[in-house]
Amino acid sequence: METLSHLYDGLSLLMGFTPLVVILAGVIVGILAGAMPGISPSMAVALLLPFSFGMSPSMGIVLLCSIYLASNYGGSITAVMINTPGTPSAVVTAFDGYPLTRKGQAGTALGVSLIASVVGGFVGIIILVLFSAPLARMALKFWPAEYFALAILGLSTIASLGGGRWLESFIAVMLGLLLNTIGLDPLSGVSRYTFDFIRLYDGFSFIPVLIGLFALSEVFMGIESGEVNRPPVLPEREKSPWPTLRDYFKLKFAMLRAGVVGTVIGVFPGAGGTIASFIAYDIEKRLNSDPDSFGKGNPFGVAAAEASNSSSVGGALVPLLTLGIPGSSSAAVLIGALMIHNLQPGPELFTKHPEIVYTLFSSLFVANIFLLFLGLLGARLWIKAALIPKRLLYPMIFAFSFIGSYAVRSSVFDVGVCLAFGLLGWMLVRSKFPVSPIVLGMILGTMIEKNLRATLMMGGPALFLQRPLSLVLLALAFASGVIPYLRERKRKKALRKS
Amino acid sequence: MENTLIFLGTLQGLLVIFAGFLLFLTAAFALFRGPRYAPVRIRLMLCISLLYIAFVFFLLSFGLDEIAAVGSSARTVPRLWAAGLALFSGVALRRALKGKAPADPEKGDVRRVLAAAAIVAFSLWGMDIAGYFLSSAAMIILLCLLLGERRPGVYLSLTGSWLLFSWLVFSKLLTLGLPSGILFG
Amino acid sequence: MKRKLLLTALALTLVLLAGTAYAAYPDKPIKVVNYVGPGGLMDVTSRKFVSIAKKFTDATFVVENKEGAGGLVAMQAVLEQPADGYTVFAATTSVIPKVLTSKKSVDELVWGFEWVAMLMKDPEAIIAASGTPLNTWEAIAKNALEKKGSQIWTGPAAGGNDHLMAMKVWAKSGIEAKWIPYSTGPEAMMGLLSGQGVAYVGNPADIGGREGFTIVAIASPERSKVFPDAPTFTELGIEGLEDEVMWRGFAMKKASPEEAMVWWEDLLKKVAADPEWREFLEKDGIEVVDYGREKFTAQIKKDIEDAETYLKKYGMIK
Repeated sequence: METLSHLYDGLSLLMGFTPLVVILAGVIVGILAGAMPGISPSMAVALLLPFSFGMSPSMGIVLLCSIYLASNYGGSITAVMINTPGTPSAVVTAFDGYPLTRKGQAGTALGVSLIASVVGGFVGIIILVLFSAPLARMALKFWPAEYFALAILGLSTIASLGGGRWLESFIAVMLGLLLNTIGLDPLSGVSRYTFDFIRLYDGFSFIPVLIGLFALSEVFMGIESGEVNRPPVLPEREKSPWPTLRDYFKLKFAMLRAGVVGTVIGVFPGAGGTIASFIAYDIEKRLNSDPDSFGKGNPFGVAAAEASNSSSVGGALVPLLTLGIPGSSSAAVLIGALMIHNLQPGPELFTKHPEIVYTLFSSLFVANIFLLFLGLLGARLWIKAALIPKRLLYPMIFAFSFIGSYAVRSSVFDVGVCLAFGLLGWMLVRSKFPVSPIVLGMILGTMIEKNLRATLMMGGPALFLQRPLSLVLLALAFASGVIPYLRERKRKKALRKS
Repeated sequence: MENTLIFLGTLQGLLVIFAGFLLFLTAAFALFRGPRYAPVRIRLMLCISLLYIAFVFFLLSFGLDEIAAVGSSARTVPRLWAAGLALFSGVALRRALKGKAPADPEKGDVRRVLAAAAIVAFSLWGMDIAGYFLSSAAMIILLCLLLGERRPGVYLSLTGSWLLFSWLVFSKLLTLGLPSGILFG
Repeated sequence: MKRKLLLTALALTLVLLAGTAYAAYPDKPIKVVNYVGPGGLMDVTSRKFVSIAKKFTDATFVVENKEGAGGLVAMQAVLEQPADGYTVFAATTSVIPKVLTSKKSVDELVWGFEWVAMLMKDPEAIIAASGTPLNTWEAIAKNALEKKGSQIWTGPAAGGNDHLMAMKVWAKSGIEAKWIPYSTGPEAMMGLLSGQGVAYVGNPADIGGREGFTIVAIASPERSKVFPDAPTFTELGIEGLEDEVMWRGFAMKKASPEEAMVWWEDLLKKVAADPEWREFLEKDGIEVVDYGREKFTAQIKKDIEDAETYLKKYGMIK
């Protein structure tokens, strides 16, 4: 009850002209920045950081939180329209969103990703407000053994990525894991496979790799297949391109499930939204009556990916507010913002400045509503991208990839990386190798290695089995990796017999 | 042995590794010249390239520093992944050789793909000389021409608006230091 | 007579020229290059510094972020710029061990800079979780001896500044322990809270706003005013750890114009006296300093020596 009255107070603070304009500005900037490949949510938050100096602490935080929330959605726009995830966490949204657009159903892809984003966002915020204390306690139960097991669970989702091509998926994930070892060793700082080249010390930057593997490879495929010469697939004229309320309602459980998964996994620092969306997508695929349609344009896939990725915003704020530890890189920038205003992030914030915490909570609610309306408005605009002829769209995608890769670290080398991964992706895709396991391998590689070795240093391999949580997670990963494989073999055998 | 490994870990070493890759690939190409392998030749070459990558990572892992004080070796995990990659690529290679793998896709307009990549690479190289704006303008115009846009009004206005957009958003708003090149730097 | 006149005129022009040259710095925006991402510690510090410096100068500052390789990318980027004083490197202690552990040339990367302005001294501290029995230095040291080297200390990157501090503490107090690095300091603190390790090495401000942590020892000559309960190493009977700090400061490429360096030294003096700046740092138990080239260079020399000694002793470098 006390929470509610605090929330009400926070909400009433926001019901003025200035706060609403601040939220509006934050949401607009966030959507645009998220849609721009190369500008991650954390960069968007950081870019507006200087503007927040001049504001009161609570307005500054409101601005930054609105951007953070909105940019997580913005990343999905380019993911579904041109197969270019604007943010790493939008990778999974592209799996089904882009095939939908190719089928001429860009409206469905855009609509579902927006609604899922908003629903997921609400789930995340509600869980944050109500259950942050128990979630933080759970986060403290996680040792490197559990982080390792969680990463392995994430890895087991490759079962749903390859579309039945097991061998190719395994090859791709191993390649991703291996490429991830380039750079400084996370435990000893030893330089590995860097060829004395300083730009490689941190390994490949993630965004250029992503743009190359997804966007450029797709463009190259389009040029090779001659799709570039064909006119764009237009939505049927008589029908509205947008899904109906009933269409959305069918997705309700998918969104809620994914929202919960996203929030809970978003709590763990370093795991965050990206792994959450892989796992949520995997769960939805297993529960769906038609799992084979995943990856070919199933709205359930878009809903799961986008809801979990937006709800992870709420999750990432849990350790920030309860322990003073950021759950994601954007949350880390929020800590910087708090510090500039001489506020210490952490549990003391609740006791010393409850008004700021509750303004933050309420602003997330309000920003989410703004996101819904601005998103609906924007979607009418984005859908036009589907009408651009490929011979003009492709050069633009190159131009976007170029500057987006450069912007991440102001590095020309990264643009080269993007092109190289584009060609690699093209060669793999045309030979029927899936590229998303490479991305999964590169996301999880460091997490697996660091926690594996830390556990071994702490007490040897027995720790994985002695700690109940880690044991459960590992068993879950084993089951989710092996069962589909066995089922598939059985099916193939049955097919052969008949 | 030790010194060779250390040499291979430098930039010159990378050139040697790359030269080795070309040799290896040529040899493999010669070996699988026969018409029997024609339908899966690209797949064979891919698997062989992946095997080579796995081999290089495995080999170079012996040249990585060991720091006893840390209590955990930086060599183990890369070897694990390299072994995994080699294993699965090997299986894929065997399947392709036995004719169990899917056939290569029909070759499309590969020359145009390579031309597009070359234009991007050229513009990347030109960025250090002519600066970001000039080289990306050249890139967009050339790509439009390559992909079949013949109306100057269309591709020039597209290029112009992109330059304006990137200048406004990246240079002005985000104060991102775009390369200005030797010519204008 | 004529000659004298000519000479006077020449001298006058020279003086005038020198005068305008002096007044000329800065006549264009000064780039402050950070090696951390936006929102990182040094990024926040440079932005705060710049915002306060605006009270004392009309100069325009542009804070840039060149992330990568723990500062090596930014250092190289600054050294590639002309030595005109318009590109300033925003550094912290940790770049020194970084240069050493990555086997780069100290002469080239560290002494390629003139270390112009040192802003602060943030004392290093050993932090423990309050809820455990091992929440005093005596208990930790005793436990470390019993465990014979298997006691776990947490902190950020291996070979970094905090790891170096841990090595110093182990060497000076005669204990042995293991260092488990985490991606960031806060994650390492979370590890401490969940019982993975016994001690965390960081700075006193790390416990601010967070519950459940105690500073068991602080490496400053006297007790901190903000954290008065934390004993110094001297009080605990460990000598040689009176002044172990993490500093933050600004450096310029060697052979930059003298007036640019003097201008920065002056600016720092003014900013260091500013109440808003002092409050920003002092509330975290950080000592505000206004060291110019001489004192800053001395600090860098000590850092290099220490890093070489201890990184070698513990086998991190050869």
